Amino acid sequence: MTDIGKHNTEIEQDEMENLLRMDPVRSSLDVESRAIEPDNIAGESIVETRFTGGDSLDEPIRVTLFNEFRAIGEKLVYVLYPKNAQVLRDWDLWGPLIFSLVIALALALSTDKIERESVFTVVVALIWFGEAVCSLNIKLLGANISIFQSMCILGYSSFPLMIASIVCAFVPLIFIRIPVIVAMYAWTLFAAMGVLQNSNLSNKKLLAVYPLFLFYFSLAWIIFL
Amino acid sequence: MAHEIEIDSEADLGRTTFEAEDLYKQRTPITKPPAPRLQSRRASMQETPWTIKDSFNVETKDVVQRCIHTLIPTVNFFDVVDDRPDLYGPFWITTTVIQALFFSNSITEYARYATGHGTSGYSIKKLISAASIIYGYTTIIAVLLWGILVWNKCNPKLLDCLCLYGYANIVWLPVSLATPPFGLLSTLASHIVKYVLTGIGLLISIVFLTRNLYPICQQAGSNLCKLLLFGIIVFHCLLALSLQLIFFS
Repeated sequence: MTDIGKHNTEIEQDEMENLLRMDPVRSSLDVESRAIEPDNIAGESIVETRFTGGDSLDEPIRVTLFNEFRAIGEKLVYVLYPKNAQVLRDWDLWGPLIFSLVIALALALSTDKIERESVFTVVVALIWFGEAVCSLNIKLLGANISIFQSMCILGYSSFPLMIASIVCAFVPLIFIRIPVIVAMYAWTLFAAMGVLQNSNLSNKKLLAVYPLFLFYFSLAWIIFL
Repeated sequence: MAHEIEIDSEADLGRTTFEAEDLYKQRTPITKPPAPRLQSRRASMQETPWTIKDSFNVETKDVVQRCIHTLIPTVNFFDVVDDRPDLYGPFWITTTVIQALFFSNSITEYARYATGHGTSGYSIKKLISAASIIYGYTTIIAVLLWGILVWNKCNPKLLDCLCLYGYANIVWLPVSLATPPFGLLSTLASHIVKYVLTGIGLLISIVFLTRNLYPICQQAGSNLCKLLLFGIIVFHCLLALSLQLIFFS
């Protein structure tokens, strides 16, 4: 038991060291290389560290997917309970992609058949364009955070609204929808404040907060309808 | 005397402290000549290369102050802007108006659906319509106005035109948010109240636009100035009519 714990700790430390050394561009390239699995040194080292620690599994794809979902879970926890901002420096957009597709799918399936394609398209475009514009706004106001990192945080912050969209898709009662949508909207805003945690916007904090309020309000309103 | 002031303003253009002193000195005379401001504006534009980050170099109280002076157009807007036009206010005010129009229309439709009248659900195309109309109007009319003024050698900045039209959109925010409560009245009363609200918003924004554009258009000559102001008023009436027919009825 203690040996397994030590091995897990070693794996986590190795992975953290590898991730901290990477640039955001390299991390995206690394994601691609992990998907294709060529015979690169970096790919081999990552695969070796993962294989030596855990159980001996025969399918690398399963291991890759498991590690990806674990990384998504870790980022989700750190976004929803913002305590340690170090993990969020290694940005990815897998979670935001899943959340936006689930929200758009739930909204499209709960509307009339005539407007399903329009609703799905507009909601996906609204989420991604909204996140990009809010991130660009924070960057232009002078924050020292990269655009993709803030998009990562804003995307993971929309997880409570994903829960609200699933609940509102199946529950027609208005007395359940309103408390759920209000609570999830408040939680999303609370999580999104993490994007301003390390920024140096002293006099412009309200200018950075207001677009987040507007973006998530429009998303919550469309979910409620 | 005017010539001397002009030389001083040109000489001290690069220094912030002396520029402030010059502005303080220039305010002591009763009338303020418009030419030095335009010249200093043009010179400052030629000195430093403009980046889009400069147009977001604005603080919260500045944006709030500009919004207040748009809704209460008693002071010249370009004095409030003080040669520092921003793109934060125009963009986010326009975006807020789009969301407010969609919110107003969808809450009206939802109220009708909840009380048994009308079809179920909302129309996501209203959001696309709102974005197309407001973004399109603000951008196209501002660029068109800037082009006409540049063609007639009035030398305004494109950023000033975008800033002016962007902040002018804020009048539609209280109009669109006030429409759903009055929609609960009877049919005739709600129609009258909605037209009155739209009329008030139209009047405030027309006063705001014409008051601030008149000193600039005046340099293009008397006849062209009247034609430009007439065009500005006509296009703004068309905007108000479009919003009334699509979102408030």
